[in-house]
Amino acid sequence: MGNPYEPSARTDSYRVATMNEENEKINGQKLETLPESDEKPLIDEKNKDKEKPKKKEKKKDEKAKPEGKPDLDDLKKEVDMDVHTVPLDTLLDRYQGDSEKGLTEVKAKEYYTRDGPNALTPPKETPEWVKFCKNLFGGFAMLLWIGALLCFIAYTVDYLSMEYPSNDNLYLGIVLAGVVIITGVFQYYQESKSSKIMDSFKNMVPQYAMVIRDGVKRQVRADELVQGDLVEIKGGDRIPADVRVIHAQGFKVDNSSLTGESEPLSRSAECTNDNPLETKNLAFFSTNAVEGTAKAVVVNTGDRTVMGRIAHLASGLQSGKTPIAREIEHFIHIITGVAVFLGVTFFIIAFCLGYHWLNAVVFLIGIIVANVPEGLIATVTVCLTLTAKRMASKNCLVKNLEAVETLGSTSTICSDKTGTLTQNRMTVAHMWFDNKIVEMDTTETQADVVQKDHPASQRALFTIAALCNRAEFKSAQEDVPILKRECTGDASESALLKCVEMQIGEVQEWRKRSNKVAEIPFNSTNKYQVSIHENENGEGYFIVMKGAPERIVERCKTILVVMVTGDHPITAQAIAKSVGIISEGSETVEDIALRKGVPIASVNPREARAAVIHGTDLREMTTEQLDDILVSHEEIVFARTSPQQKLMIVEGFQRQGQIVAVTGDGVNDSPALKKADIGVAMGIAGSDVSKQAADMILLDDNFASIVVGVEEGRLIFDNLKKSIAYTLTSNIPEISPFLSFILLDIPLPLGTVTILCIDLGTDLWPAISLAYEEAESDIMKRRPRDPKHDKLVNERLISLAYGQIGMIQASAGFFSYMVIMADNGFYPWDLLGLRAKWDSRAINNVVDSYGQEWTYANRKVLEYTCHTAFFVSIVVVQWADLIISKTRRNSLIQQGMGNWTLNFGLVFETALAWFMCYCPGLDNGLRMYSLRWQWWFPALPFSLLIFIYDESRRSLIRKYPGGWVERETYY
Amino acid sequence: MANGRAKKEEVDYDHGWKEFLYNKRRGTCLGRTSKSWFQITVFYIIFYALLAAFWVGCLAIFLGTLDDKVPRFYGKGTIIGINPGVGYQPWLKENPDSTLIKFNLKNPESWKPYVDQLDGYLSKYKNTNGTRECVGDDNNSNLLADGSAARPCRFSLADFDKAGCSAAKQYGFKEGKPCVVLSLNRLIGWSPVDFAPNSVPEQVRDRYKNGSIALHCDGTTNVDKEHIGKTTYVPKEGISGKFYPYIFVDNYHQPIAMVRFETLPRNKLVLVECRAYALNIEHDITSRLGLVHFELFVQDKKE
Repeated sequence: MGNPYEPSARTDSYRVATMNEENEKINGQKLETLPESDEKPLIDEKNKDKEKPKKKEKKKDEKAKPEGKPDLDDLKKEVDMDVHTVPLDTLLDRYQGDSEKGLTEVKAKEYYTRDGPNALTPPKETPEWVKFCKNLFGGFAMLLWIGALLCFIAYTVDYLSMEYPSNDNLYLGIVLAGVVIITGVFQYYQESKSSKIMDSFKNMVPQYAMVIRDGVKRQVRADELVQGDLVEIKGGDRIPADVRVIHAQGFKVDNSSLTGESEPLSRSAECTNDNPLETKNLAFFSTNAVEGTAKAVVVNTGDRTVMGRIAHLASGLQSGKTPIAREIEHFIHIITGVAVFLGVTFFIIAFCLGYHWLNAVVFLIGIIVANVPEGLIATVTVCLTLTAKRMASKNCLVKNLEAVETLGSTSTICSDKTGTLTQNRMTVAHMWFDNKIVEMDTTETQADVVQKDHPASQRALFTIAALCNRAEFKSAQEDVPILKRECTGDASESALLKCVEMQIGEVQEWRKRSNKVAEIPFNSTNKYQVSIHENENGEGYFIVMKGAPERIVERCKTILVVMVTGDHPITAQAIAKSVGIISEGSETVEDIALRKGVPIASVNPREARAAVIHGTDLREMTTEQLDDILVSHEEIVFARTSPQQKLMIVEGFQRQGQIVAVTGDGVNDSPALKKADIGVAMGIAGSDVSKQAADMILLDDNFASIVVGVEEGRLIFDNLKKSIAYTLTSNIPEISPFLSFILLDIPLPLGTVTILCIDLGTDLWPAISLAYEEAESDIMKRRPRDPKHDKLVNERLISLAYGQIGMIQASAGFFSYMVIMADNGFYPWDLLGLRAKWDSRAINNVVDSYGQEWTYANRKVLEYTCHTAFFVSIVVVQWADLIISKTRRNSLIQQGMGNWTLNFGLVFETALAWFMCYCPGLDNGLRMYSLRWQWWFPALPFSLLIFIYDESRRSLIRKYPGGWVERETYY
Repeated sequence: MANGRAKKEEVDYDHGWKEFLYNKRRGTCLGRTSKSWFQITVFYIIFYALLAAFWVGCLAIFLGTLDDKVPRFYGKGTIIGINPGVGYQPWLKENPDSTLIKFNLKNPESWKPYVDQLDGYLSKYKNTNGTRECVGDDNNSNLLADGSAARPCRFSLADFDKAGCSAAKQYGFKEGKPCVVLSLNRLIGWSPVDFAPNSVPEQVRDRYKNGSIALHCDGTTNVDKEHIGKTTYVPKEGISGKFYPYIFVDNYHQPIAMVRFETLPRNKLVLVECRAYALNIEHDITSRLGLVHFELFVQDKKE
């Protein structure tokens, strides 16, 4: 039994599996373990299977991708070598080596110069300047460049033709170009920062190998090895290259990083199989030696190793765009479309109205600048970065920023690990005793009810849950509701602790009274936990015990989890059943055939919910057959799959429009990891190649972290919606001044530079702060979003942001404008048609409604004051917009104002507006003039209106689910 | 069940843009049925009607707080300020960005627009309703106190007629000696302040009279200064100060003066700058306070 107080020996991946155990089944008296026999019978069959598959596969791959790159096809071919079959002497002669003394230093040097270092060539990287240019010219940048160019053209024409050229166009051009460049540099910086994290992986710990050269044994870096080198390997080492074993003593290797099978395989000097992957005298680069020792000759190094070939297959694959990238592209298309349409329309209208073409160009610039949410891409980048950071702190390292959201949209997860999806937070939902199931309240806000009258068996159950439990509450949480308290210990134990604390209370006291005298902690072998306690009266002892029926996946019901494994079908099916990938009562075709006593062929495959598909069958299938299987079965297990087949499966799901996540740690998984919408690799157990191919790395190898990823991904998708809704709304008050300037002939109410001050100044922090908003409901209960129709930006968002809130904001802006004009002497109706006179430098005496005459300079000061006031009123209505954007369905009362980043955002935007308004010197630069204090308030009624309108709208959404308001305005 | 997607409810979507334009199966046009179009249209009509009503309501309340005699902000410390600019006529509406007065002595049509413009501009002085004759020291200074009974001083064009700047003489355009009207921007509450006797600027020292705003026109550059030739000011002392201060009242007669360019060169562009002089008028070229720029171009050639 060993020392019962020894620290728990269970592995991380196993712990995940246990986290998901169904609490209803936990019962002190009952001990369940997985039937061990499941895993044993496979070993012989494993070897049988391997021979032919590869050859057939080669043909299939060639057929499937005849036009593909030749080198990629070449990589997909079977590993063809004879180094394991030729007699050892021949081999050594080939390398001019020696089985005792190894190579000579000279020879080794010669080979080294010929073959290069024994390391995988890192995948070809996009040159930095290309990345930089992509950031500089992608997305909205092109539109803004056009705007800047138009500015410079307008300025040049002005400069050449006018007596007093205005520098405004020049400044605007410079500002626009500056905006594009700064945003580009910022994005580039963000990108390179996240890829730098990856670089740290590359140069982790250098591998060393024991090599014999010139008869002298010494340690060299593994990358200095060359073909023909004589190496010594012992248990625990990583195999430094593809080697042929000469002598072996109890030598066993773990090929899991190559084949996915974690069974240690013995290796000896005999050639047992023609297939290099099966023969016992070869060990492969980057696999692990488990035990024993061996002396071996290096036969292949670097990219020429079996591992190197798969790695190259992976790096040659093109991974598609991430869902969020597609969404943002879709959104940019919409906005660009609107901008170009409006711009061109009004360019033509302005022309028809007889404006000078130069003026028409200035309108075009204005409309483009007003339409493009300049700060939005930066906002999205920051939001994603924040989420990536949050995930990194929960041990999910995201390599590619955009992948942050992908897990949230994932609809299918292909995993070769059985414990894929669990949730770190667990609550006790049911208790099962006396053959009945009692439901527990699982809402987080429940009152801490302490019930006293429990049946004896339930009481016993509570005793076990309280005592046979290592979880403890962290200190100083007395005020927190029990279910929200933080605990030490794993998720399932915490859940039990909370349950008992809630139902009985005083667990701490209870444990003191029943002193623990001995304990067997949970580990992956015994799969149970036992502890012995003193009786409360001090006489005698009692024993409590709990065990784990394995149940997984339950927590992510809405996501299809597919098991893709190298294991034997029978094992695979057994595991799938025990973890819930195949649910109880589901039958495969074989099960149905067995039950009905008919041959398998006569069973309609559509009757079966579940399917276990063998790699050999998969190889025979056409694309259509595979698609048919993927569609018609809800519970699918793939067994005995090769790297290429994993790739096929991923591609198959992607053809169905699914967003596919793949988890894996072996090199064999890397092509699938790369092809998947999001590849998830393991940080500890994962091979470097798989980490390279993946988009996300679970640093602690804890599969539960995926749930964190899914949750964060869904949350950021929601919050990005809110952020975009917030940012887009202010577009309407930005565009409408230009349109009315052209159509109503009034002095311009809002200038281009001021628009930039909003987009890149006051709106920025608030928009980002929405990323910190908490989820409105349990996002894990939601179905994954439908990538085809559930868009980041949809017509309802546009309708609400542009058509409703935006219009209220615009009226607020115009009201402010009218107020300032009238306060200074221009009544609203006198402004109509005034534009030509107003903007003419030639006229030094424009008459206002009180008969006063205004010089050009004074008019412009008044106009810029109006711009400032319009700007301030946008800030004021954006307060309300920010607050209503916090929620899409809930009331503010339900959501609360707990998001302090957002609250400071409100203060910040106001302070910034105040600064821009009153800082001396900014009147020249930004054309912002100080406002009288009363000019801050005209927009306030509209701000209130926005808040009231939207609260009512959301209350209608809540009151009438599926009603008209929801259908038309719920984004 | 434990795992797997629940069967998706079948949501019918448009496939491709043709179906989006018109989907016969679902009876939708641009993704909406006629009923749905009707609903959303009615919604937006009501929404915008209410929003417009709210806006107009706010504006009405605000306008109700305004004084109809003086704007809320005028005079010292406001945007319009207390330093008037100078205006000139004739200025052509057809070419609003230009300050060029250009005509050909051989072609009466070429100066007709300028004469028409001046006719129109000066016609308001023919309307004497509600005005009074101000003789001697009588002036407008009591207008504000008079309130609704205020009758502003009448401005007479007789001086201009005498000086050869009459409509009948086509304001001198015919002879190539054009008369240009100069005016000081109306600012509520503004009256000229006299120079101390020994500090009258040298440009107007010979004709400055207390209570008036003297005017002086010259070329903008040294070349123009050579070309501009002789200028006559009508009346000599400039704009009469008795019409100040300005108040917002029906038929207020704004005092003006004219400058007659007696010896303009032919076929040469002359850039002119005219400044107004009183103690409380500052001159600023960039913001055009206290001065005005225009160009004269008298042609004399067959077309």
